[in-house]
Amino acid sequence: MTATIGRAIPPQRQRVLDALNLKEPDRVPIGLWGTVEGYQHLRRGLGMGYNEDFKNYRTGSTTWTTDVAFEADLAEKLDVDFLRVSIGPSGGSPGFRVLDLDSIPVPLQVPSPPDDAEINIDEWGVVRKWTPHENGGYYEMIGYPLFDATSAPLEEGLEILREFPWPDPWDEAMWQDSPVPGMSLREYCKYVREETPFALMGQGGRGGLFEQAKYMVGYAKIFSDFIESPEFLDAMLIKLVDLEIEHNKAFLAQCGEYIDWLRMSPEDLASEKTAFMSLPMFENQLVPHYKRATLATKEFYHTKNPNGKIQFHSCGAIPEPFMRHLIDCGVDGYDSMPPKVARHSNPSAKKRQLGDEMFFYGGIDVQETLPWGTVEDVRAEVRQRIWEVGHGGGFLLSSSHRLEHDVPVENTLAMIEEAHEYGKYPLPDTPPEGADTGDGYEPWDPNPKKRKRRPKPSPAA
Amino acid sequence: MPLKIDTEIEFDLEDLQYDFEDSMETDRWHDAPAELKELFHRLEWNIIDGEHADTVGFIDTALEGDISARTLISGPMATGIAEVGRRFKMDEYFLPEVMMSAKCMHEALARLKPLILAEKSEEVGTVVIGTVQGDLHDIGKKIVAMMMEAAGFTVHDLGVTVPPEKFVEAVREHNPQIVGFSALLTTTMNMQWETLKVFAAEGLREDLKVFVGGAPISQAWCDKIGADAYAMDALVAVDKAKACVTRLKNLTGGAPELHEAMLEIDREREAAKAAAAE
Repeated sequence: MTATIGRAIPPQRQRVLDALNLKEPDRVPIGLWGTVEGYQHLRRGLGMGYNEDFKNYRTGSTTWTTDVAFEADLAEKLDVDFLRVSIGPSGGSPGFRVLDLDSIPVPLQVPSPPDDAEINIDEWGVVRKWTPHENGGYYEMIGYPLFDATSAPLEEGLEILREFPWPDPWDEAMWQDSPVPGMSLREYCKYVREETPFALMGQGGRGGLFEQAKYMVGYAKIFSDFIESPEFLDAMLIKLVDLEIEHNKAFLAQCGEYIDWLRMSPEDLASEKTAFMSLPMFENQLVPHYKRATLATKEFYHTKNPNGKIQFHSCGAIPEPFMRHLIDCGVDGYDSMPPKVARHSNPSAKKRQLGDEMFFYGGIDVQETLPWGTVEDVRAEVRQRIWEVGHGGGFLLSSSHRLEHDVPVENTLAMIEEAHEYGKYPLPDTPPEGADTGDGYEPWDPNPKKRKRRPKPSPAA
Repeated sequence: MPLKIDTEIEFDLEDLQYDFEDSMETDRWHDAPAELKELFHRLEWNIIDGEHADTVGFIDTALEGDISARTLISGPMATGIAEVGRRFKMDEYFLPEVMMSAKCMHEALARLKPLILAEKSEEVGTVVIGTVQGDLHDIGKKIVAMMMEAAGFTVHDLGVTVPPEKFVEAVREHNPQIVGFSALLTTTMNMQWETLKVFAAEGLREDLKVFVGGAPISQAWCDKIGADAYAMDALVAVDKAKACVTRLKNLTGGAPELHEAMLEIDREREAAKAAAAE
């Protein structure tokens, strides 16, 4: 059991800890996850004050759009159970540390002319263009610093990797502030643990492995590089693993004892239909890197919090054999459980396949139900998901990706209310309408039809 | 005069699921001389295997043998990439393998493009095509563009992530009968709709027959946004485009009769397929 200082574990945090430890809590724990605009939209809808300048938030990742921390007052008002926090530069920055173009030793693939849009180079050397939309905007990736390096002669490519101005994981600017103005990251995490009832998930990584490799090389090219430039890719992934481990350590050194579970830098390994790559390619070219990153992170984490769990993110339909490898790498939990993917890997299948070995986070559809469904659609989906994934514990309910500004506030509220009502343990045995009970399910086939020569027509025929 | 070879494609090419020897034993391209038949099969397998460094070599050899660019595109290149698509659909191929095959197609199309332009005999019509804003997918749209070109259309390919105003500009400049929007992502398909709305706002809708295509696109999506035609592949796109500039040329963009005529083409294809299967 996790040690507490001077008081009992509050019920919110306790139900999260139970779920993480694959025990049935009193009810399914709930959390929120969103973009800046989604966060603003929710606070506005609830009549709560908020910072209107969407560019002046402390955001925490270098992926396409950025996560924002949901503050404790909102969590209290909505009666949810956990918060998220990440390492990151202070508020007012674009969510990443901005590099000077001249410090990049390789020519960047900046589409010309870059017109008069706001162009930044993020801390990985990826060229980002501020792309506004009606409610805010995001930093679109438009140039990939290692695009040419992968196809250069190997020695030249490796030299670029050595010279590249990689981000400094131990940059102190990354933990000077927190979602609460005036508090450092460590102070904030201590505050959440000691003065709020909420559990806390943390994220220290700034880019990840395969995911960051995509951003460094470009989306299309990275895939053929798995076939054409495996040595370069391996060297790049070794570097990215080193950085992931160090980023996680730097973060955990600040606040590891207050972090109930850690999310590795998000990865995307699958489309909605299947994995991005074949199982052998995944086993040979990615698994060793995931293993090193996860195990080293976990080892350090456990010096701070011996019960700390590791959560892995991917969108899409990751087939079961891929998930089993991740578990072998030391992964304890998986988000974001997108429900509208191929049935071999939907939330119901994931629970049946892996529910004894890992916890799950997410699950409520952000592609249709939350933004476009009715309140009753949302409630029905919450019941389905809780029934599919919640039995035996191990389910933390949240949106299946970031809540954006197009999700009506009443739908977010319906999600939470229904989880409060239906999510009480023990859960019913009878499935709610529309739940995937596994009838007629077919597992993903890791061995597509073996090629056999067709029987030749006999000469007599 | 280039050799005339039957390139009628049947996409259930079972022999391409086995190996080169098997595909050589079929009677596909039986009307080609033996060495060309072998070359065609080698080109198919070059694309399936993604050996893009060798692709242009095969193309050049075929061209020396007096094979037209159009025959190559609608023949072995189409069958090869169709098999790649089938493998992708069946989880036998994944993105890395598909990208390698895509490189073969890009190499081949780059080599053939000037010849297609030179080969075109009659002017059938003009098409403006592009992948909508925010979407970087190129190859499907490129194939549609090339097949249209091979069918005699003048095609203005605006490339990828094309903003609505660029489409409008190109339409004003080139006066096409047809405009095609490609989108490969559920997150970008909505841009087809947005672009269409801009056309309407600019008063261009009736002058244009609007085609939509791409992996997440369906007839239902086409109906919902009020486009004229959905094309499930490049060949269907060409069929429908030809109809649009010939027997249907007097129908205005957005007209219900045009929409119905496009659906009729699908029904005819289905019926022909069913008849062939029997």
